[in-house]
Formats: sequence, structure tokens, C-alpha cells
Amino acid sequence: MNRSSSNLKKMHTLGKKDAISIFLIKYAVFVFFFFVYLAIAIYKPVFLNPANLADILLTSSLVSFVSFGLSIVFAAGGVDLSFPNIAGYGAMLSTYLMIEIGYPVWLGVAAGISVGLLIGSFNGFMVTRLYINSFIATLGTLFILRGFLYWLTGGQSMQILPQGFEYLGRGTILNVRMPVYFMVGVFLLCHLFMEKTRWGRQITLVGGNIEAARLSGVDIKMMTLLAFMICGLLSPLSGMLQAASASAAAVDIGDRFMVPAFAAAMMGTVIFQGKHVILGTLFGIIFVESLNNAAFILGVSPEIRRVVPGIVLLATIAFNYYAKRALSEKRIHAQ
Amino acid sequence: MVQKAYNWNRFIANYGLLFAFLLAVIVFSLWSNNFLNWGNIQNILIQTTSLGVCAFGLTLIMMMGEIDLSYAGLTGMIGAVMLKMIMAGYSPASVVVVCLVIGIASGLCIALLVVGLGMSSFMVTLAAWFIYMGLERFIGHGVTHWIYKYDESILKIVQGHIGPLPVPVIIMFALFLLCWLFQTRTRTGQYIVAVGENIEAVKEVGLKAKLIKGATFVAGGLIFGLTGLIETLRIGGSMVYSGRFLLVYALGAVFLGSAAFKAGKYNFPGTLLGALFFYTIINGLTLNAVEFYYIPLVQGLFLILAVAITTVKRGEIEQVQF
Repeated sequence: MNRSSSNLKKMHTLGKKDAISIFLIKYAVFVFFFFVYLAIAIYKPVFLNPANLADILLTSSLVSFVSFGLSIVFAAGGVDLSFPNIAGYGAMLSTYLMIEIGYPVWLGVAAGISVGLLIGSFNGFMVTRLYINSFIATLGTLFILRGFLYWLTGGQSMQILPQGFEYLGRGTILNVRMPVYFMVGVFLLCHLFMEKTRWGRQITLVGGNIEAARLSGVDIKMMTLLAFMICGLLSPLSGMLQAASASAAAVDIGDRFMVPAFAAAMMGTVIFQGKHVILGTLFGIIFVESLNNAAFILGVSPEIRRVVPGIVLLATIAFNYYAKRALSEKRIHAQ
Repeated sequence: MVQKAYNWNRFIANYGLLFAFLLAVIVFSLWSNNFLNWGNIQNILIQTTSLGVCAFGLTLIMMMGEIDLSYAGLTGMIGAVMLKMIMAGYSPASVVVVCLVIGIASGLCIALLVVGLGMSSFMVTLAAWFIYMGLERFIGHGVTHWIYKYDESILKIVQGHIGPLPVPVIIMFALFLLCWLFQTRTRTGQYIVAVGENIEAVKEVGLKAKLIKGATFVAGGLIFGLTGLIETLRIGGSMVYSGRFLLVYALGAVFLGSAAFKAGKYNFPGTLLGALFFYTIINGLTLNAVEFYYIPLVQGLFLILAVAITTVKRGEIEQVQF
């Protein structure tokens, strides 16, 4: 009795203070971003050089496609581990078709994207029809694709890529590399899809509260399948642009996306508490890649730089838990 | 009639994997003459050891409804640490102790984050896997070193025989018996399963569910430490990301195992059978000179099939908890 009455009093007295602390918890990530960037910029002003910023944008853009795809799968309550190999398979298949078979560039790119869509559908099928946990199912796909990759190429890398294809990765418009434009375009498409279309909102609902989604008549299986298909569709873009900008495609071309994309997509899910995931993911990618870049400028050894995205991931998850707990406590008080 | 049909179904569900295993053995022994050689059987058993040991740890953790993926990175990291120590001239005993201590420490960290702070075990251990992979590169610089060049005495642990069986195989079977008896015959072992099945009920009864969970994570960490030790000694050196292949194999073995003996439930005999099954297939394919790239293909398919057997009837999408 006593306790509840004191709680009642508290509810009335708290208000403005609560609003401030909710605001702080919600935007703590950005405060954190700001201080990190400030520290790096003060310590190494080179970091803010236009050439360096352009480099960060370029490396971010290569990872961005897999990250957007992954964050949409996250939003639907799944995980896709196969994206590095979807990216690799898309890149290897398209370059193989262009070099060995002599396909024109557009057809090679289209083939790469469609095979990604096919693999994504296969993932979605396993999750929605065979009811396999998405983590296990896509782990299986990861290995199957690795086998296919070696089968296709015999482990050899593709070296001399067609000019038109290389232009996609190395060409510039107004001194900005092409992948950056693709990133902006895909970002806008994904963002509008997740925010403004019915399917995008339904995907978010399925991941956020599957029971509510079921009760409101959302086709859960269809939306989960759709999320995996989108991830499959976007992943080859990262692989192909990576190949085009490096002028070579190797079997393990997608492996380097694994950890940064995971960290970025996880940040994207967390930054706005499960809303605006694509925007959040964009922040996440740029943050992870800036840290990587800053570590490079600061002369950190490459071995340590490999640990950085993993730690960012862990820190993001930890932050997520505190924010969730703190916010739910505050909301209960505020009501 | 209905009762009979049900029993028949259950019989298939419980012993289907055993028959599949026997079938694979028969097919491979007809396909190549050397398959049933004692030497080859020993080979399969030795190859299975690190997977088997790792899968027992994973079974223990999955029994209580959590998951731990850290072994995929921990194995390689322990390999790198071991090589560093062997190159610096530490004694075999101290190397073994350090490996196990790293395992326990890893288990403790995960227990603190998952049980103490209530974070999702999937995400925590995934991040742990990534971090260990980075640390492995940091410690070992991604260079392969062979143990025999520095100190041969530690290799005797895996090269020895007791009776007809090599020592690692005996370690695996000993650990199997230990885990199996612990889980089925002791009260604490039963509590672990109870935590996985109904944690609320366990709390109601007045058991310390958190303590049980945390202790299980630590025990799992210890077993993963042992995995790293055995795997490095079996290979005879530290290879980059040597634990990566275990990720799929161990999950596959545990899931395959859950389709055997006690259908739908994780159990140690099933896990052992699943692990043996995996390497029997790989060994059979390798003996018959099947191209190397079919092996990940077959592994992936097996993992999916193994899980699909148990999940296809569920009728509900399983979401991942973040």
C-alpha cells in the first residue's frame, strides 16, 4: 500500500526530468558518435580531409547493400548468415559470365542479381515452409554456396574485367565514385519501402510483434519470405561493386563484409529502437567504416582493426539492453 | 490401430538416424574396399574427436534453451595462444592448463553477459565469435606454425594409444560418458534440462535457475577450451580460423542428434552418433576421390536436412531473439 502511494506521488512529480532522460537515452548513440568523431578529428585532423571522407564513403557504400538487406531481415525477426557468400556468388557468377562466356555487362549484372534473388528465396523457403530457424538455415546455405563457388571457378580468381563493368566501381561523376551513388539510390528505395509501403510496415510488424501481426491479418510467411528475398537481391550488389572497384573477383570476396555488415545492421536496428532501420543502418555503416578508417590513420595494426567491428557489435547489443530496460522503466513511471 | 501406427512413427523418429548411419556405412564399404579397414576406422574416430567434444559442450548449452557460438572463434584463438606458448618454451602441462583456463574465462564472460545482464545468448556469442577471430589474427598474425618444429613432447598426448584406441578417442568417449551420466543420473543434470523446458517452473520450485545457467555456460566454456586443445594437437599446428568448420559441424551434429533416440530432444548419444555420421560421410566421400568442393556442399545440405527433419512438422516460424 505504502509503496504504491509513494509511486503515485512520483508519477506526478516526474515529468520534465523524465522527458530529458528519455531523450538522452534515445539519442545517446549520436552523442557518442559526436564525441568519437570530435576526438579523432582533434587528434588527427587528416581524418577530415575531403579525400579521406570520400574514401570512407566509398568503403561504406560497398558494405551498404548487404547491410541494408541484413537489417530488413533483422526487422522481420530473422538472421541471414549467408549474405557474404551470396555477395561472392553474385560477383563470381557475373564476372564468369562476362569473361568466359562473353555476356554483355548488363546481362552479367542482371544474372548476378537474379541468382541472389533465387538464393534469397531458397532461404525464405526454408524458414517459412520447413520452419527451420533462420540462423541454421542460412548457415547451411553459406556452406552450400561455398561448395558451388569452388565448383564454378575451381578456386581461381577473375582478373581482367570488362571496361564497362569496371566503370560501375571505378567511374566517377563529379569526383564521387559510382558506388556512392548506388548506395544513395538503394538507401532511398529501401527507406521508402520500409517506411511508406504497406509491405515494409508489415515486415517491421512481423519482427516487432509476431502475435500482433497474426491478429491483424498480416501474411507472416509471405512477409518473412519477402525480407529474405530482398536480402538476397541486395547482397550481390556489394559483391559485384567490390569486384568492379578492385578490378578483380576472388572466391572469398564477400567474407570481409561479414562482421561490419552485422555490426551496422545491428546498430541500425538499435539506434531508433527498432524504427527507421534503414536510416539507422546507414549511420551504422558510416560509423563502423569511419572507426576502421580512423584506426588505420592512427596506425593501429591490421590485426587489432579486425577486432573493432566485433566490439562495436557487442557494445551495440549491450547498449540496446540498457536502453530498452531504462525506457520501459521510465514509461511505466510516466504513465 | 491408431496406437500401433503412432508407435511405428515414433520408432522411425527415434532410430531413423541410426539406420541412416548404418546404411551410409554399408554403402561406403561396398563403394571402396578400404573403408572398413581398422586404420580407416581409427582415422574416422580421431577426426571426430574435436567435433564430438565440441558438440557435447554445445548439447549441454542447447539443452537449457540457450546457444553458444563462441567455440567457432575460441578454437582458433586457443590454437594461436598454444603455439605462442610452445614457441616460447613453456611446458606441456602449463599449456594445457592455460587452454582450459581460457575456456573457463570465456564461459564466465558469456555467463555474465547472458545470465547476469539478460542479453540474448545468440547475439552475445556471435559477437564473441567475431572478437575471438580478430584476436586469433592479433595473436597469431595469421601465420600457420607447426608444433613439431618447436616441441614434440606435447604431441605425445594425441599420438599415444591406450589398448587399441588412440588417446583423443578415449578422451572423447570418456567425456561422452561423463556428460551422459551427469545429465541422466544426477539431479543437477536434470535441472539443466528443466531450465530449458520451463524456466518459470524451475524458479517456482525454488531452484537457482540463474546459477544453473551460469554454471552450464562455464562448463560449456571449459569443454570448448578442451576442443581448442585437442583440435590444435590433432592438426599439429595452428591454422587460420581452424575453428570455423566446427561451427557448422557441431550445430549439425547436435541437431542430427536431436532427431535420434529421443526424437525432438537434445541428447548426448544422439550427438555422438551425429558427429560420427558427419565424419563417416566426409571420410567416405574423400576415400572415393570426390572433389573437395562437394564437401561443404554436402555438409550444408546435411545440416539443413537434419534440422528440417525435426522442424518441418512444427508449423510455426521460429524467430531469432535479439
